Amino acid sequence: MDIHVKNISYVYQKGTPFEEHALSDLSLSIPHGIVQAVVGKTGSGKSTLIGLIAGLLRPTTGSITVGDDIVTAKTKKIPFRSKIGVVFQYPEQQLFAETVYKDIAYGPSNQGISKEQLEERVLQAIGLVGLDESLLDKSPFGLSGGQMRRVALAGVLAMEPSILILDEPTAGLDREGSEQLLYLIQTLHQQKQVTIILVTHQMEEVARLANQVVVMEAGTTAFTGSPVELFGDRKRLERFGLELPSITKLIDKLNQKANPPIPTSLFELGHLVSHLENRRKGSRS
Amino acid sequence: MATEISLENVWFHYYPQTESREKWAIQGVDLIFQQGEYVSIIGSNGSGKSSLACLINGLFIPTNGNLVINGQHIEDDQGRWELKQRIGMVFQNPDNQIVAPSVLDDVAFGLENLGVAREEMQKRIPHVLELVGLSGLEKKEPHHLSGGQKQRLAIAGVLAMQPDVLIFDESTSMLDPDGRHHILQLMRKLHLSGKTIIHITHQATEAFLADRLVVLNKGKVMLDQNREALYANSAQLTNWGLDVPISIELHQNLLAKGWNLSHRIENEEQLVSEIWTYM
Ligand SMILES: Nc1ncnc2c1ncn2[C@@H]1O[C@H](COP(=O)(O)OP(=O)(O)OP(=O)(O)O)[C@@H](O)[C@H]1O
Ligand SMILES: Nc1ncnc2c1ncn2[C@@H]1O[C@H](COP(=O)(O)OP(=O)(O)OP(=O)(O)O)[C@@H](O)[C@H]1O
Ligand SMILES: [Mg+2]
Ligand SMILES: [Mg+2]
Repeated sequence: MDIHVKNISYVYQKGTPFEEHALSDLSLSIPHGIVQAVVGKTGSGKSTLIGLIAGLLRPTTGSITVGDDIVTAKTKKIPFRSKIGVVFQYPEQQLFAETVYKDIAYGPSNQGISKEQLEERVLQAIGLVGLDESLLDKSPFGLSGGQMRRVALAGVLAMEPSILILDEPTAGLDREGSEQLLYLIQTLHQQKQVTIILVTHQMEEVARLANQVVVMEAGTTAFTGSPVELFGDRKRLERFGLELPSITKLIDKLNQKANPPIPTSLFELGHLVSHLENRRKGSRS
Repeated sequence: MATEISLENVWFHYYPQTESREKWAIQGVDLIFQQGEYVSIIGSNGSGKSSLACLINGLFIPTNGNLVINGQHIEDDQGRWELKQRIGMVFQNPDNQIVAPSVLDDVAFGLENLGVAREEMQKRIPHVLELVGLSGLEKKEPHHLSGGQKQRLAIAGVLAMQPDVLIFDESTSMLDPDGRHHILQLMRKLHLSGKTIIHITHQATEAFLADRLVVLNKGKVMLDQNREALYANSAQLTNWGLDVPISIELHQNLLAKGWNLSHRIENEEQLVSEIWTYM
């Protein structure tokens, strides 16, 4: 299911004094099965864009196509909503049940699966996000911030959506939790061909995971391309208010004394280590 | 003014009747925060950071143990009044802190509660909104803000109150890179002007900007060290699921490959120069 966003605009509270033009004339194509990163300044329209793709909002003008279904301002029932899983920017916004278990089970329980399958899905999902089983009977509102985030993620994963939208999902997660999630994104992408749309302020995540990245600026796209292209033009990056991934900053420091320089397209620590190992072996033989 | 906060064998749980002590959110914490310190608190999800922050700012009362501020126990009315005046906290979830129908009123609300005079409010509010980059959005309803805008509003509210001690509970987690650097610089400036800064964060790059780091795990303080000491030992942070500076990770990886580097790395520059020397 490819996604095509065509010339959309979105206005909040249209016709009131508080009217806000959040998106204007935005077009974007997301081929099926890729990891699409969305970055950009506070208020640039990232969450609004994914709200539209997820079918939670209707465009004011323009259209959104997901697979064979098309949504415009006039569409009454949005057909693809059930195929898309969304984890909101603030996880509290999607928690609602009495217990963690019921919260995670709610989505899949509407998918017509057996009781056993349901339980299996829930247990699998909490394993995937590293949530302690002892929390299943607790209220989702009596948890720490990161634990809530994990419950929200588990609830969406348990539905096994074919398009997964994550709005700043590692905000509030500890390192272990973030690594686990990044690994999971990679697995879903490689093994299940799930399309993943990842909104993030963490450039490491863009560098390590994304096939394509779009930079949002004042409600429209200012750049679409690969992470290597994005991080390759330092001046432009700065103009966007973005930064280099920390590994690239470290390579820059190493390169002040290196000839030939280490390629700045190495985004995994493991790759940098291998590069240095090979160089050392080369210099010794 | 000076505010010294001291926690003496503090224990805390949300439901003390029902759970055994090993499950309490805070388990026997001893800590002292002197005026003017810049401290980061790090720890995995559920390790007790936010609970500790709520104890320090007087929102929660220790189930056992003492919290003493400038010699006053916080169970006393005088102690609680002191806390309210002197300690400001930016909550992890800004929605828990935002109360008013507009951005402007929201910042004003906190000031009214502190009894700040009108003219003074009119000076402070535009200033803090400018500092966090929300100028122009004064009339907007807070729940119509973007995620990062809400976080900025929560920060502005606390800055306006000008407390002696500022607690930031993951307050940069949803800011864009520029915005994050800006707020981190602001923390350093506030510290240099004599404020106490307590910054809770999951990012090593942020935590290692503080002069002192406190590591929490399962409600207990595991480490309480200055930056240099902890940096050199920071590989062990992985044991508690925590983020480690990337230079330290690289150092660990190269050591594991048999590179003959110093075992103690004090900073990035040292690592870089040792790598090329060893080549
Ligand atoms: N419900 C709403 N009503 C009115 N305006 C809104 C509403 N939600 C968002 N906006 C405005 O629309 C613009 C885009 O907001 P959006 O939430 O899409 O930004 P974002 O890129 O996700 O930002 P952040 O990085 O801070 O989460 C902002 O200026 C915001 O103030
Ligand atoms: N409102 C609450 N009611 C009951 N238990 C709670 C509540 N808030 C937190 N807890 C529990 O107390 C413990 C400590 O939580 P706390 O919020 O202090 O952790 P934290 O270190 O801030 O984690 P995070 O990094 O996820 O924000 C956790 O086990 C959590 O489940
Ligand atoms: Mg957003
Ligand atoms: Mg917390």
